[in-house]
Amino acid sequence: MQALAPSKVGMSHLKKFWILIRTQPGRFLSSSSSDSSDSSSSDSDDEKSQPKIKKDDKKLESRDEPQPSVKSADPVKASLKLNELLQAIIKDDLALKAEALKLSTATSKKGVFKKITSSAEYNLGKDMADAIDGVASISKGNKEQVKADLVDKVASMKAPVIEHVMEEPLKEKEVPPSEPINLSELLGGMKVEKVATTSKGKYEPHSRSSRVKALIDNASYDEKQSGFIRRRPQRQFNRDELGPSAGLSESVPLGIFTESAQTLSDAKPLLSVWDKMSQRELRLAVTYPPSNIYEEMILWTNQGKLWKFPIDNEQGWEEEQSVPFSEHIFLEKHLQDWCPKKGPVRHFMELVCIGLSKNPHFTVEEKKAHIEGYREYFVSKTDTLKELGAM
Amino acid sequence: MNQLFRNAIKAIPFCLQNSNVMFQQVRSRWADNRMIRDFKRRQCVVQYADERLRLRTLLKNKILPEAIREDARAKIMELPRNSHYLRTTYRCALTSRGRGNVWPFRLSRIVWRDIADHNRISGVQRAMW
Repeated sequence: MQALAPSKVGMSHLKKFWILIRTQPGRFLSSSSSDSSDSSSSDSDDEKSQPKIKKDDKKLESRDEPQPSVKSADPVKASLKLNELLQAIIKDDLALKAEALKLSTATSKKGVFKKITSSAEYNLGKDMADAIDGVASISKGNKEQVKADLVDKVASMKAPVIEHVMEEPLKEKEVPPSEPINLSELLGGMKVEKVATTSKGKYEPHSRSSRVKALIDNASYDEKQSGFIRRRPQRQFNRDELGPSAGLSESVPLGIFTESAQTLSDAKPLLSVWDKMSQRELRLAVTYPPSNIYEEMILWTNQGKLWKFPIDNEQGWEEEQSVPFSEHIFLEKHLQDWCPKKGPVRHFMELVCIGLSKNPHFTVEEKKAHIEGYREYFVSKTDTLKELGAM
Repeated sequence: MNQLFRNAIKAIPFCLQNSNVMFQQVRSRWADNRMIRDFKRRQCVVQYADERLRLRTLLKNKILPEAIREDARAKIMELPRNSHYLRTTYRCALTSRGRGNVWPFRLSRIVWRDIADHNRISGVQRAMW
């Protein structure tokens, strides 16, 4: 399988070659006619030339078959005519294409915004200015526009502040200046309008601490930019805004409430849920959910969900390290108070103690709890045990 | 059980809580009811574990008199059935599949295979020898 498909270029070359052959058959015909007259002679040169010519003849014959009229008339003149016709067709095609491009386009009636930087802000440099002039002069489009764009591009690399300049709407018949314009000349007469790059009301805290501060200080900002906790901006009332007063101090007091208001203010209402929620809010203001997997894994490790490295089999049993092994093993002291010194009960409980002493999984408290449980059971069954003679 | 039902209802958006039609999938910790039941059984097992252990030792020993052992047997029978550990099943944590589970991973074999093929199980590789 061929990697490359037969290229169109190759085919066009072949076609061209074919056309050329067709348009110039006279050459081969004349040679063949000349040879035909000398066919009788059988020189080596003729032999060499003959097969070639014969081949061409064959080619001609095969191609000329669809157009017998050409062969019948004067071949040279016909070929030239054909060539001329073909060339004319090609020219027409090109002309049509050229005409198609000359369609009228709609002109913008608004002013064209040009981002032009004032020379006062920074200096592009003479080399840069000259280069821009050269490029603009070479370019085919609106040279002013090209220059302005280039200046803008270069400027964007350097200076942060961009100044917008409003130009008057281009007139249709305005011809661009023929001479290359000097940058300083171009920009000297322009009026400059400064526009701030950052939009108003945009509050983007760059660090968590600043965010937290903002929350705690109750800084007012757009609700769209609020973080996890939303706080309504505190309204500050002016004296003028309150309006007409309610008139509380005008009439005579009834004397119902004799105690002053200060005594009542001491009794604060118990808002336990409110306090909890406010504390929770404070905690949430400081803590954030993990931003990446590493932080999440740190959180889990601290919570005890993940193994800590190097792996310690007794992770989570830190308190047990301080408990001495004697408390685990010598459990008979717990039997002293209640358990009889002889009998099946004692036997049973001693076995229990041995079993618990060998068990590493229980804590001391759990072992004690087990022994207590047995004690309770036996205490409840003392009657039956005494009847049986066990206790 | 009632509390669980109420909690399940809360998961549904408020406008649909009284309607019969439910448009949104309810996502909770449990894959299905069997998982919930198994979890409750495990809670019961934990609750009665110590008591059961003591009664079992009293029952199974041959030192104490028989009366004690019979009493212990009776008391064990009185305990709730779900307090027995054999009533729990090792279900898949994701799909709640009761059979064919890879026990150390708590996953069904199908889920385990899927996750392992996507290289999300540490230390697991396609076997080839």
